[in-house]
Parts: sequence; structure tokens; C-alpha cells
Amino acid sequence: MLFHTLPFAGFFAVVFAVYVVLTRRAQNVLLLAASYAFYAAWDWRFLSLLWISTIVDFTVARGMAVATPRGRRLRLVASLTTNLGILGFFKYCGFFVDSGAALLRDVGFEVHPATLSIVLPVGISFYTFQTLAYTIDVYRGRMRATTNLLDFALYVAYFPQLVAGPIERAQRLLPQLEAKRVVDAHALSSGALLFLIGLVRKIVVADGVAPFVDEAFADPTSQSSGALLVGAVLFGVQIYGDFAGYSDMARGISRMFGIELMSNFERPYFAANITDFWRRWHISLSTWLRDYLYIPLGGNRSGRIATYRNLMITMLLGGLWHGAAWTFVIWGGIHGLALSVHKALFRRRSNKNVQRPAGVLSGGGLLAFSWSTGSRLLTLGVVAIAWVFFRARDLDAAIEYLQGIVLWQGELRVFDYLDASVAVAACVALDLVQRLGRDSCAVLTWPAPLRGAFYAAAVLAIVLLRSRHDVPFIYFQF
Amino acid sequence: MSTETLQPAGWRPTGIAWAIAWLAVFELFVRVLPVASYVPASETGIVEVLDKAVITPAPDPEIVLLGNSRLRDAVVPRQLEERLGLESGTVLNLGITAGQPWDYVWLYERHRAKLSRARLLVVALDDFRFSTRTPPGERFRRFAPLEDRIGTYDGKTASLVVGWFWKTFDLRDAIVRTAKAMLTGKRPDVPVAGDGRIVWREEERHRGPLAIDDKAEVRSRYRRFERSAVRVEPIRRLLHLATEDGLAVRLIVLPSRDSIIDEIDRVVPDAPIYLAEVMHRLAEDFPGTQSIRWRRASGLGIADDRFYDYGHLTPPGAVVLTDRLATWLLGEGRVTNENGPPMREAPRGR
Repeated sequence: MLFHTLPFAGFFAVVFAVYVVLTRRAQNVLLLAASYAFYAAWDWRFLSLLWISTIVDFTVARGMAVATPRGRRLRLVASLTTNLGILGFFKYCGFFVDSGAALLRDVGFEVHPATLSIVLPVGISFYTFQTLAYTIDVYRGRMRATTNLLDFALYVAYFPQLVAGPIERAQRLLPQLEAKRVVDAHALSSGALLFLIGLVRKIVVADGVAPFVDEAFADPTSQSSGALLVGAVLFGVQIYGDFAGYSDMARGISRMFGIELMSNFERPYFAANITDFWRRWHISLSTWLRDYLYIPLGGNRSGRIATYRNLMITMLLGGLWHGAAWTFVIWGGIHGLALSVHKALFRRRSNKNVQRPAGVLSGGGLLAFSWSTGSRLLTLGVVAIAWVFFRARDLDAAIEYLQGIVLWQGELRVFDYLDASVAVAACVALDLVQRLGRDSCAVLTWPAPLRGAFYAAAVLAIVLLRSRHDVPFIYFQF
Repeated sequence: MSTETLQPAGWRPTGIAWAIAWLAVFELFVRVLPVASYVPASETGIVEVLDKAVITPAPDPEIVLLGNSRLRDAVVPRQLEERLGLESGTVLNLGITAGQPWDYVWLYERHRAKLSRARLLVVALDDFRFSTRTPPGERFRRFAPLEDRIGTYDGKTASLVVGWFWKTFDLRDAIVRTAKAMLTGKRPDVPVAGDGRIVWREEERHRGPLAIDDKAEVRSRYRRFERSAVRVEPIRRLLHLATEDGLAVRLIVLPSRDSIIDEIDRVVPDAPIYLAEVMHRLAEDFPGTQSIRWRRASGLGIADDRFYDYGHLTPPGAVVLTDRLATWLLGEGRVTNENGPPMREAPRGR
């Protein structure tokens, strides 16, 4: 059941209509039932994994409250083993077996491992990280374990963010589930607006450029260098539109239930540098990696070399989180390297001006403006190169793709990209509207005729440019 | 039970009201401006070509041919007139791009005053159009009245009814196409050739490819074929009107590449069987109606490379097919009553 399809609209309408007339506890029962139904619509067989994660982490966290320090540690290990074990089996088993076999073949041992055909349960990476965060936070004493299994089960399975995030922290989401909710006029209108913006990002932006990206990556050797370059840039637009669109829709739906989800994207392609990019891109994952991996590894507290090492480890594992393939590892490696280089170059230098374009434009003059623009373009370039690895079917294909760009040949037929330019323009326009208004729902402060024009334009864009087929969200595969 | 959660006090839908107003303004433009016909080489644009360049300038017709793009490419009107000894311009090939049964009866009704003066109606049928899985075409969305939108296409009734009220939704493809044409200045025309055929392709070729992807072609047209009695109704309606107007009716099935026929018989054998049954029943219900099914092109002496694709004939292929049609109409398919066109075997080599 995809957010941008009619079955989901019907599903939401029924759940919402019943939700608003129930008491808080009954609302949670309804949301939990709806969440399991939502997940079962994908594949009911994997509901059991969801239940295992729920029961294990609920029990482990409750046990921590009365356990000795050693007992607490043992319980944490039990949770990590269960959650990461399930994730590892379903997501990484084939990858490590195949990679191990390939390594052995390279050193002269011919092996033929029995390979299992394992289906990846949708959303497993997201809800695993979410439950882990809860248990770790309880272990660290940052929050008290909940005593209500219903609320905790809903925290794990809450359907707006179950299959592709945002990866919510228990400290944020659980208190909201435990409290009485109010859906006022602003929550309704801003929730609906967020959902509409998400729809535009998904249907107009992401699905609009998807055919061009698919064509460029299907057979890079048959494409001109210009087409490959545009294809790489457009994939950046596609994945942003797709994922940010999903996140906006998730936030919008949740807000209409009176439950606030975190913002997952903050106009990442306006980033002043690569560090800034990671403050704006998939924020719920980047902050998770920071809090539960980078900082425990030592963060930037143990000297320069250790900092770079920690950055690399964090980003390599971040890449692997996306999928069991070397392309994702390389993608993470490029970002880790870029972050390390940026940290090394700007270690002692305040880059406040670079990150605040208003200041640059008003006071910095031409040099500062050029510096800021160059920095942004360089960031986009690095991100685009990394996207090639992220999107390519394997490492060879990615290298072939990049070679195709470097060995500049063939010509670019600009008129062929008319549809894509409309999609890119919509993407930039949405970001500009939110950036200039300093709020994702800035449209609500506009005069009614202008606000109406925005709604009408969004509806028209969706109706006129919608793909004939429902395209699934890219991040569902992770 | 509690309603304390929802507290929409102070909510005024002024923005939504303005949005509806803006959408209404856009709708007005869509209804007033020639959005659908701006690009002639399109499902809706071709209607204006047929109206203005084919039907209106023609004299009273003797033979009217209705069908889809396969018919459009397959029959050469001037050649047929010559073979049958008819006056020039009296054979109208109204084969319409992406045509479906509903389009044929709609086109006949649209020009009934003129077309009813003909003496013979030839309708070309394709089996894949009689499946419940065939979606409505752009022309249906543009022109179909409300009563036709209900129940004609499985699972599409709601969107077709919405489209009747909200033309912007119905004409979404045409709007995008028109906008693109205006932006790029590319507005492909559809000329009518001297031999009376509508020339759809930018470049006509004598030969098509020797082999095509039969599996993909069949998959795209016959995906999950399922018999539909509803799709037969427009043909029944057309035959009713034609016989009421005194026209004799001939039903034909145009040939396709042999390899495609083999694939159809292998994958969806029920589709041609169903069409044969439909044609048989129509012939029973409308006495005097005759039919012929040419399936394999090789049976008519047409090689596979005389097709552009699965079943669209190149001009040399059309010449052969037209000749075979004329022979049939002069022989087995001849109209024997006084209402039939005054056909006679024209001397060969004219």
C-alpha cells in the first residue's frame, strides 16, 4: 500500500474517521491494528519479525530497570544480538557469503557456497535501528523503560514511518504516544499541506525524472557523456524527491493524528559543504549514526587521525546500512572521505559565512559569494559522483558510467529533457518556497489567493504529470 | 467515545476555495481552447484531420471503412475504387489511430448524415480490443457521453465519470502534449496522401524489420486477456445503425505477421476464438452481414517484412491487401441486393 495510491487514501480515511472519535488508549489500539494491517498488506509473513523485535526490546529494557550493571550489559547484548542477527540474516547473509567465496577464489580456493534466496522484509533496517536506539537509550540511562507494551508496540510499528522512516527516537515519539493528542486547525491544514508537498515531490519530481535515470543507467555505453552527466544529476533529484516526498507524506499523515515526526530533510542540495549536507540529508539516520556509532567510537575526541577513522567507519557502515552491496560501501566511503577532507581543511576555520548565504550576500562581497557558490557546486559534484555508485547495478557498471562521463563524447539533445526540467524546476521551487519562508509549511502564511494558487498548481502538476504506473519508493528496498 | 481529539475551531477553507477557483479557471481554458486537437498526430488531434481533410471534402461515399490504425495503413482508397470501378473519392478509409470499438460507432454517429449515404460499411476488428483489460483511450475520455462512461471499462468507471465533470483530468495527456508542442514548436502534421491514405508516419518505408520481439508485442496487447461482452456492444450498436441506414456490412480481420499469429495461438489462444464467435453471432443477428478473417500474412502472399511491426502494413503491403480485399468484395463478399454499391470488376492494368 503506497502513500500515493487510492487504496491508501481509503485506508487513511477510514482510520482517521474512527481515530478522532476514540479515547487515547483506544486510539493507540486502532493505530497499532492499522499499522499491522498496513505492514501485512506488504507481506504478512514478516509481521512475526516485527513482533520479535517488539517483545525482545520491551522485555530487555524493562529488565534493565532492576538489573545489575552486568545484567544490564547482558540484556543490551541480547537485544543487539537479536536485532542485528535478524537484520544480518535477512539483509547481509547472501552478501557476506558471496563476498567471502569471491575472496577465497581470488586466493586460489575454489568454493561453491550454497546460496539462500532470502526475501528482504520491507522496512527492517528502519525499525531495527529504531528499537535499538530505544534499548541503548534505556541502557545509557537517558530514558526510562516504558511499562506499556501497547505503546511500545505502536512506537515500533507506527505505520506512517514504519517502512521508510524517519527513524524516530523513543524519547521523542513514545511520550507523544503516551499523551492525549489534539488535532487542531493548524495540525490539520499543515498535515494536509505536508502530504500534498510530499505527493508533488514523489509524483512530479521523482517519478518525473525516473525514466531518464533508468535509461542512462540501463546501458551507459549507449549514452552520450552529456546524457550520463545529466543522468547522474537527475538521480540525485530522483532520490531526493522520492525519499523526501515519502518523509513529508509520513510527517503529514502523522501530524493529522496529532503526532509529530522529525523532519528528515532540510533542503540538502542547498548545503554549503559536505558536512552541512549531512546535517540536511536523511537527518534521522545521520543523527542515529552520530549518536550510536560515531560518538561511541570516540567521535572527534581522540585526535585527528582517530576522527577521520571514525568518520570513515561510520560512513562505510552507513553505506552498508542501505544495502548489501559493494556499491553502497563505496558510496559511504566517498562520503566518509569527503567529510574527512572537509574536516581536515577547515579544522580551525569557522565556516559560518559559508553556511549562511544571507550573510555572504549582504556583507561578504563578490569573493565570498564566489567562494560560497564554488563550495556548493563542489559539494553537489561530490554527492553526484557518489550517487553513481549508489544507483549503478554493480561496481563495474559504476566505473563504466563514470568513464563515459570523463571521456567526453557525443552530444546532448536539450529538448529531450523537457519533462525532466519541469520535474527539476518543481523540486527547486518547493525548496525555495520552504527556504525563503524558513518553514516547511510557509505556504500557510501566504494570502489566501496565493495559497490557493499553490494548492491548485500542486494538484494540476500531480494530475498532469503523474506516471501511468505506480512507482514504489526507492527506500523501501532498504 | 470522545471527540476531544479533533478541534478544528477557527479553520476556514479560504485557501481551498481559492484553489478550486483557480482550477475552475484552468478548466475553462481547457474547455474553450483547442487543447485536444492542437497536435494533429495524436489520438484526439487525428479526429480533426478526419473531419476536415477526409470526410468533409469527400463526395457522397459508396464504401466506408472503419477500424484502427492497422486498417488506416492497410487499405488504399484510390486503388480500391479503381478495382471496384467506383468514382474517385467514394471510398473513405476512416481507420483511426488507437481505435477501439467505441470509436467506430462514435465516428459513424458523428458523421452519420454523410456516412449513411454509403452503401457498404467495412469494419476491421482486432481480437485484443475485446478484452476487459483494454483501458479506455484518450478519444473516449475526450468525447464519450456520461452514459457510455458507466460500465464500459472495468474498474475505470469512477475515473471516467470524474473526467466527464473535470475535463482537465480527462485531457491530461493532451494538455501536456500541447504544452510541449508550444514550447518546442514541434507540431507533427498528418497529411492525406494522393491515394487517399492517412500518412501517420514521418517517414514511410517499403520494408519493415525481418523479425520483431513477438513475445513483447503480444504481451503488451494481450496481457491477461479476458473476454468482454461489453466491448462488443459498440459494434452491435454500429451494425444496428448501419443496417437501419440501409448499409450492407462486412466484418474483416486484417492479417498480421505469421510469427505474431503463432505467438498469439500459443499464449492467448482464446482471443482469436472469442473474436470468431463474436463475428459469427453478429452475422447471425444482422442478416446479410458477411465476414472474413485473414490471420496469417503469408496466406495472402504478404511477407513478414511488409509490416512495420506486428501488424501495420507498409505501402507495398497495403497494395497487396487492398487488392485481396477488392477480390473478396467482388466475389464471396459481394453485396448482392440493390443497396450494394455498383461494383464491377475493373479491367486489370488500368
